[in-house]
Amino acid sequence: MWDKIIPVLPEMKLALWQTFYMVTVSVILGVILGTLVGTLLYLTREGSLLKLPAFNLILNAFVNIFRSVPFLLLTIAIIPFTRLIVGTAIGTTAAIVPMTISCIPYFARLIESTFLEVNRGVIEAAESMGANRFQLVWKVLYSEARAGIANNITIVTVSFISYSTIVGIVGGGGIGDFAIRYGYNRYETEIMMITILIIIVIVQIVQSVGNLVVKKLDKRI
Amino acid sequence: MINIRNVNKKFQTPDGEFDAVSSVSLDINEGDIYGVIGFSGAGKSTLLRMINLLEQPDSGEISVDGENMLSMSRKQLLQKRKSIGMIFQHFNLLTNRTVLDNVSFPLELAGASRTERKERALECLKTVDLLDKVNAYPATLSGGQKQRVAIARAITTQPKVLLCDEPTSAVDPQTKETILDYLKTINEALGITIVIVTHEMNVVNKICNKVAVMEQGKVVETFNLEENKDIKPRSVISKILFNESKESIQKGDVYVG
Repeated sequence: MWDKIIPVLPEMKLALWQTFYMVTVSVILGVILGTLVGTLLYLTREGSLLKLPAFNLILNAFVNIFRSVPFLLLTIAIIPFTRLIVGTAIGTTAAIVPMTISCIPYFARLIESTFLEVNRGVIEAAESMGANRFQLVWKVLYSEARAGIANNITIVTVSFISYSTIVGIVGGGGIGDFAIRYGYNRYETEIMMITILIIIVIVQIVQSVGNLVVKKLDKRI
Repeated sequence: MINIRNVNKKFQTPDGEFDAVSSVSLDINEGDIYGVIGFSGAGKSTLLRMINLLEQPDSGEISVDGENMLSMSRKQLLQKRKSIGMIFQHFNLLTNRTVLDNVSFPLELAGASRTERKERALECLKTVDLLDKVNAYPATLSGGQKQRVAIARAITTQPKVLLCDEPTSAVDPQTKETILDYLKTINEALGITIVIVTHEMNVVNKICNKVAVMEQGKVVETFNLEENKDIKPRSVISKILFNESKESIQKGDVYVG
C-alpha cells in the first residue's frame, strides 16, 4: 500500500493546502458578509428593531434564491462573475468566489435563527438603559448570541470542507479533486480511502475545536 | 415627577383592535412608591412601559421630571432613559457577562471609563449586598440574587425614577420580602421614585404609599395608603383585590410593615 502512497505524497500535501486555503478564505469572507446579511434579516423583521418589512421581503427572496441553487450549478453559473472578480474562472483562488457566494446566504440563515433565540427581554433591558441601535446589536445581540455564532461557524466550516471537493470542476484542486483523480479516474481505491480517512480526521478536529470554543463562550449554564 | 395625561394605546390582534390602555391619567410625586395593581391583561405593564417609551402611546401626554417624553428627539430620549431605571419580572441580565459587567453595563453604554465603571458598579452591588458575587455569571445565581443584580444595574446611572415590572413575580415568597426591602431602601436612601406594577396585593401593602387599580386598560380607582388607613374600595375589582389581601393578612402569610 505504502508504495502507492509515497509517490503521491507531495501532490497530496499540495491538495491539502489548497483545501485549507479555499475553505479558510471562503468561510472567513462568508462569515463576515453572512453576519451582515443575517443581522439585516433579523433587524428588519416585523416587530424587530428596524422594522422594514419591504426590505426584509426582498433580502429574504435573495437569500432563498442563492440557497436553492445547487452548489455545482452555482459554481458554473457564476463563472462570468468569478472572472470579473479574480480575473480568471479557473484555479484555486477562482474557486473561492462560488464558495463565498454560497457561504453568505447559508451563514445568514444560520445566524438569523441564532439571533431569534436571543431573549428579547435582554435587548429590551438595554433599550431601557438608553442603548442606541448600534450598541444593541454590537454589545447585546452579538454578545448574547456568541456561543451560537461559534457553533454556526463550525457548521459552515465542516460543510465547506465537503463543498470544496466539488470545485475540482473549475480547476480548484483540493483534497477532493485529488481523491477523484486517483481513486475514480485511475482506480487507485487505496488512495481514495486514505484521503477519505484524512478528511474524516480533519472534520473531527474542526468539530472538536468548535465544541470547545462554544463551551468556553457559553455562560448560560 | 411623572405625569400621565389621557394616555391611550391600542394593539392590533388577529381578532381586531384591543384597547390595552385607555384614557389613563396618573400623577406620581417625587419619593412615591406608586403601585399599579390589576389582574393580568389589565394594561399595567403597557402603561409602565409607556413611561420610558419602550411602548409608544397612540395619544396622550407623558412627562418625567418636567420633561415631555413625547416631544423628544430619539437622541434626547436615549439620554433621558439613563435617568429612568427599569427592572423586569424575568431579570433580563446579560447571560455572557459577569455580575460586575452586568452592573457596569449602563455606564459602558454611556461611555464611562473602565475605572469609573468598576468603582460605581461595586458601590451599587454593595447596596444590594452582593459583593461576594462580583465575578459570578447570572446562570449560577438564584432568582432573588438575579433580581438584586438587576436592581444594582438599574441604579448605576443614578436615576430619579425606577420602573418595576412585576419584580417579585418570579421569585419565592421569602425572596420577595428581601427584594421589596431593597426597593424600599433605595427609595428612602437614594430618593428614587418607584413605580411598581404587580398583581399581588401584599406587594402594595408592604411598600407602596399610593396605588392605582387597573382593569381592562382603565384606572378604576386610586388610593393614598398613607393618609387613609381605612381603605373603602368602591369598584368590584378593588374590592376583590383588597379583600383578598385582608384574607391573606388574616391567614398570616403577608408581612405588614
